[in-house]
Order: sequence, then structure tokens, then C-alpha cells
Amino acid sequence: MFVGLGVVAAIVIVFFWYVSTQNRLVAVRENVAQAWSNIDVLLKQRHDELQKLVDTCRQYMKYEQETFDKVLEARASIFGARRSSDPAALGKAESELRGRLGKLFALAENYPDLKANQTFLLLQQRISGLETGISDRRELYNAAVNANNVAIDQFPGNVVASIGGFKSAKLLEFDAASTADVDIKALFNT
Amino acid sequence: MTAVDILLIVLGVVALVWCYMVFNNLVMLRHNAAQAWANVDVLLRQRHDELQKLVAVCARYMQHERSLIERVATARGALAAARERKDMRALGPLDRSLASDVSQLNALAEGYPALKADANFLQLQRRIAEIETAIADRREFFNATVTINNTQIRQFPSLLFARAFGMRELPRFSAGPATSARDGVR
Repeated sequence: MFVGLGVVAAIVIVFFWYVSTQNRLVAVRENVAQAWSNIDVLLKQRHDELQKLVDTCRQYMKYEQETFDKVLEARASIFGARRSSDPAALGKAESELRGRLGKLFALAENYPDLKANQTFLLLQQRISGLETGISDRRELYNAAVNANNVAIDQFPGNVVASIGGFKSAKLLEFDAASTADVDIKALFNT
Repeated sequence: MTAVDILLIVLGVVALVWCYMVFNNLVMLRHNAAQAWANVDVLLRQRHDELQKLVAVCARYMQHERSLIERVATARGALAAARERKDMRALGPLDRSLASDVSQLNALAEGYPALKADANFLQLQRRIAEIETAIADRREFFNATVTINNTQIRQFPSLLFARAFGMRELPRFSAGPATSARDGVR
């Protein structure tokens, strides 16, 4: 009777141990899948966001260029008008013109401040932010894979895994080309 | 059951629990080292992807800024040339003085739009430094995990266990002679 009770208790304990271990293995496997999917979320964001930001930069560049051209045209036309006016008319307006010219040139030589670099700067910051976000998600994925693999290889997980067919997950691996260092000098020259 | 039997059972249980703990610990350490190694690759990948994009952005901005400055310079050159062509004799002394006034004014006030590309390059430099630091951090972390793993494997008594289960020491990061000799600054 005493031995029988002991055997029953042992079976119950082993059963619960088995079930709880299996549940843990299921949970870590799900976490791996989640982490993998979260990388995709960020890759998608990179794809969508950078396109928009680049388009915005392009639009602003165009605007800045057009504004500059207008300023230059306006300035050229002022000069042209001055040249085409006849000496007599110029003589009449001489004093007035002198005063105005001084003001005009002093004012007009202030070119509109270049501002496109701000939009480019924001683009750069977002590129960095997104790439860092992707790296973070990849590290989280590696952490999830690690939790999975440790659980599968440790006792009693290894027993449960071999019975239940739980497999170890693969850590991220990139080919050599996609982790190669960049040659900044060459990039600027292309 | 004698007292000796109970003692043996207790000792056996303790030994089993100890084996269980040591084994699990060794498994974890080995996997942690693998994870740390993979995380180095993650950052190398980031460097590869990010810096290419940042350089492209800087290059594009430089091009934009250069073209604007060139427009200003070209327009100004055209203005100056037109002024040069002006026939000074045909114009009276009044206009001569006006012309010289204008050129003086122009020379004084001639200012080009301020260059702004430096901010983008500074940001690029900052990111290069940050990424390289992050890579170095990951490598040091990898070395730390390898050290813990190797220490456990070499220390008594876990060393017995490691031998029995074929757990090996792991190599640390090595940059190789070519990389460590090159200081990168020319």
C-alpha cells in the first residue's frame, strides 16, 4: 500500500513535470516565431518609410532649386533694367537710384539660407533609427532562439523534446557579402 | 532501512541534482556563446546596410549644394561680364561713377549662401563611430561568454561532466594580423 502510493505519486509528479516542460517548450517555440515576424515588421517599415522620406527630400530639393533660380533671375533682370535705361533718365534718377541701389544690393545679396540639409539630416536620422530598430529585433530573435535551444538541450527538456519532436531553432546567419565592411571612400566616388 | 541506506539515498539524490544543475549550466553557457557570436553578425549587417545609405544621402546632398552654389557663381559671372562689356566712353562721367559704385557695392556685399553639408557629414561620422562601438561591444560580450564557458569547462568538478558530454572550449574573437595592424587612418 505504502509502495503503491509512492508509485502513484511518482507517476503524477513525472506527468506534471512532463506537461509543464512541454508547455514551456511550446511557449519558447512560439516566441521564436513571434520574434521572426517582428523583424519582418521592421523591414516593412524601412521599406515604406524610407521611400516616403526620400521622396520628401527630393521634393524639397526641387523647391529650393527653383527658389534659387527665381532669386538669380530677379537679380539679373534688375541689372538688365538698369543697363537698358538711357543716360538721361539715369541722370535724373541718379541720386535716388544710388540710394536705392545700395539698399538693394545689400539686401539682395542675402541669399535664401540653404535648408535642404535639414530634411536630409532627418532622413539620415530615420535611416539610423530604423536600422537600429531592425538590429534590435534581430537580437531579440536570437534571444528567443537561444531560449528555445537552451530549453531543448537542458534536462528535462531534452527528453521531452526528443519525444515530442521539438526542434532547435537557427540563430541568424548572414552571408559574408551582406556583413562586409563598407568602403566609404569608394562609396563617395561611385 | 538503516541510517547508512538513508544517507546513501540522500547522497545519491544530491549527486543527481548536482549533475542536473551542472549539465544544464554548461548547455546554457555554450548556447549563450553562440548567441553572442550571432549578435556580432547582426551589428556587422547593420553597419553594411546603414552606412551605405548614409553615404548615399550625404553624397546626394553635396551634389545639391554644389549645384546651387555653382548657379550663384555662374549668374554672378554673367553679371560681371555684362558690366565689363559696357562702353565706358559712351556713358557720361555720371554713369562711370555709378558703374564703379555698383561694382564696389557688389564686391562688398558678395556673400554666398552658407554651406550646410557639414551637419550631414557630422551625423555620418557620429553614426560610424556609434556602430563601430556597438560592434566592439558585441565582440567583447562574445569574449566574455566564451570566457565563462571555458572557465566552467576547465574547472573542477564541472570539468568531469564537460569531458563526459563532449563539451569543448570555444575560441575567442581574433581580428587577425591584417586587421589589427591596420590603423585605418591614412
